[in-house]
Parts: sequence; C-alpha cells; structure tokens
Amino acid sequence: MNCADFEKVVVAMARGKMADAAGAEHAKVCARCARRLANERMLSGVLAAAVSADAARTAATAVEQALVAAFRKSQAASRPHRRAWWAGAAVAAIAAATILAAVILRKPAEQPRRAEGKQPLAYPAPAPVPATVPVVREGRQPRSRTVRASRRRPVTPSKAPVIEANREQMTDFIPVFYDPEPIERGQIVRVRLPRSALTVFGLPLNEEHAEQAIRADVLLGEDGLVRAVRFVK
Amino acid sequence: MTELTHLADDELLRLMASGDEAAFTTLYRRRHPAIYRFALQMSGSPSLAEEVTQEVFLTLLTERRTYEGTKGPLAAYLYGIARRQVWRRLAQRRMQLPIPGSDEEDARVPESLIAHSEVERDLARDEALGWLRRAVLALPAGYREVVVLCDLHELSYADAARVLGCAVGTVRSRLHRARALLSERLAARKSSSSGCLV
Repeated sequence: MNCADFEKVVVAMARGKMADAAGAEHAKVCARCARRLANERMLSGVLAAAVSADAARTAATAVEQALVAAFRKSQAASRPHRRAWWAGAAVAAIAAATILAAVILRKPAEQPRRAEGKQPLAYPAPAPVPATVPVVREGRQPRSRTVRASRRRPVTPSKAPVIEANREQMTDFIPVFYDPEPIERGQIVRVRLPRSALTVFGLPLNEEHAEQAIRADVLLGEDGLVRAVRFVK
Repeated sequence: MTELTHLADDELLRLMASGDEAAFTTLYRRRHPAIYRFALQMSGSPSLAEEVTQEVFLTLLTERRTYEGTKGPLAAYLYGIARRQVWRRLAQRRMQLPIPGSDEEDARVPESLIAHSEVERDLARDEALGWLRRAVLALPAGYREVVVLCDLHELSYADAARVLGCAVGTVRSRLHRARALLSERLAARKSSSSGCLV
C-alpha cells in the first residue's frame, strides 16, 4: 500500500468501520500517514465525546405542548368539517323539499285563473328507472308525452329549458321511492345539492370535489312529494 | 402509551392519522431528540433548533401524506424536513459564525486543556467539545451536513445520501474532506497546547 491508497482508507479506519491490515502496516513505516491516522483517531474520539455529551439534549417541553395543542386543534377542526359535510347535505335536501312543497301548495289557488287561459305547463313524468348507475346522456330533451288521458295534449317544454338541456348532460331520473301508482302530473324544479348526494343514490363520487355543489332536477308529484331526482352536469 | 412505544414508526403514523394523540406523542418523543440535536449542531442555536423541531413535527401533522414509507425510513424523512428548515432559517437570520483557528483567541492555547485533575479534565473536555462544535459550524455547508449526519448522528452513508438527496459516493468524499479539515485543525490545537483535548 502506498500513501495514496492509505488516504482512501484512513477515515474508515479511524471511524472503526474498517480494520485494514495493509493500512496499519503502511502506517508503521510511513510517519506522515501514521500522523494522519493518529489525527483522524483523535478527531473520532472528540466526535464520540460530542455524541455522548449531546445524547441527553432535547427540546423544551413547551415544544411538545405546542405540538400536542396543534394536534388537538387539527383534530377538532377536521371533526366538525366531516359533520358539516353531511349536515349540509341534509339541510340542503330538507330545504329543497320545503321550497318545493310550498310551490306545490300554492298551485291549486292559481289553477282556476289559468283554466280560463292557457293550460298550465306540465312536464312529463319520467319512466321509472331501476336504481342502478344511470347512463349519462348529452343534450337530450324531455320526451314529449301526453300527461292526462282526458286531455291528450302533447306537452312541449318551454324554449329556455330546451336550450339549457342541449348544453347539459344529465342522468336519467332516479326514483326516490317506489310508488306503484304512475305519476300523472308533476313538476320539475332545478336545485343545487351537495355533490355528496350522489352517493345517496349509489352514484360514484370524486372525493376531491365532494364539497362542491351539483345541480339536480327534482321531480315532484301532485302531492308535493319528491318522486325522482336526476343530476345535471 | 407504554404499549405504543413498542410500535413501529409507520404504525404510529397510521394511528396518528386516525386521531390518536398518544401515538403522536409517542412518535414525537421517539424522534424529536435526534431532530433537535441535528438542528442544534447545524445551527449552534438552541432557539432555532426548537423552532425547527416544532416545524418538522407540524409538517408531519399537516403533510404526512407526503411521506412514503417505501422510499425510506421516517427518520430520514424527518431529517430531510429539518435540513430544509435549518437552511431556510439560517438564511433568514444570516448567521455568520467565526471560523475556528482564524482568530487570535481560538489560536491561543487554553490552559484548561491541560488536565491536572478530574475537574480540570472535565473543563478540558468541555473546552474541546466547545471547540469541536464551533469547528463543525464553521465547515462549509455541504461538509457540515455530512459530519453531523455521519459522525454525530451515526447515520450510514446510504441513509445520509437519502437525507441529502445525493449519491453515496458524494457523501463519502465530502466526509473525507470535512474530516481532513477538522483533524488538521485539531492537530494544530493539540500541538500548540501539548495537553489532553478530551
């Protein structure tokens, strides 16, 4: 071994990571390398002393207290957040149902006046859809169907909804509950619901957008009860 | 809490994520001394070391999803955060530390380095440790990191490379140069004092 080779192993030897016999032999015959090894070993000794001297050093307890407080705060902040997520969905659904019920209850009073003029616009009742993941259709207009057998009058949706529908993607109507009686008259009301409502109907939910609102058309029966919902994109 | 101390870091992290405060406390008590000492040895400032320690564990609280157990142990992840925090704060404070051996006071041979009794030996040891800390702080940044990680925290070259985000060979060569600088200065002190250093 020459001095250059010794230099490659001297640190490992001094750190006790390598017992190099050739290096030790070289240090016996080379005064310069022997000094180098001695200096490295002395440095290792001082570093080892520093390691043991610092072993008991820790941060003040105030740091731990502050961190525990931060942990509790983060936990407290996340819990109401989860509650609010579901509570918001429930409140929105109840509010939508209440508004719709109020709209429907006012209808009978207006009915006689309308009977003299135009017939009230009645949206067609959708065909019952099995409660599976619906197919999203693009720009589909509501089907034109007669609503009441005695009147046999085709229903034409107003222009605005048609234009809007052309731009929109929507699911099929999803029945909210099973009703053996086919719906004769109904009303569709556009509402905004928390996107989490998708999961209530078994639709996939992107968690990243769970807190955003989504538009939905709520179909109300003549009794004011929600019969079906479709989601609009 | 005593049962939690037997759990691995990853398991404690999982419990912590589910809101287990005891798991967080256990993890903190297990890992914070090394992080605190690292920040202290890198900066020489106890207050900065505490700030860094707090920031590291706050980061673990808020961004624990950035930790990927497959990429390395939690300790290396925490060292990595601590390292960035130290450099950021040192840059903010613009700490300028004197280079040992460059001023007259440092070159003078402290009488206390020559041990005559147990008390004096302790004093000499303290002096030597104080000198070493200053010498480490005066090393260039890249050298200082490897000395602290490999020699004062006894990390393997591979773990140090993971913390520093460099090759193992880079760690080895930096450590070699850093130790050469330190041992030269230490030898100069010893020869001028002719006494015991530790």
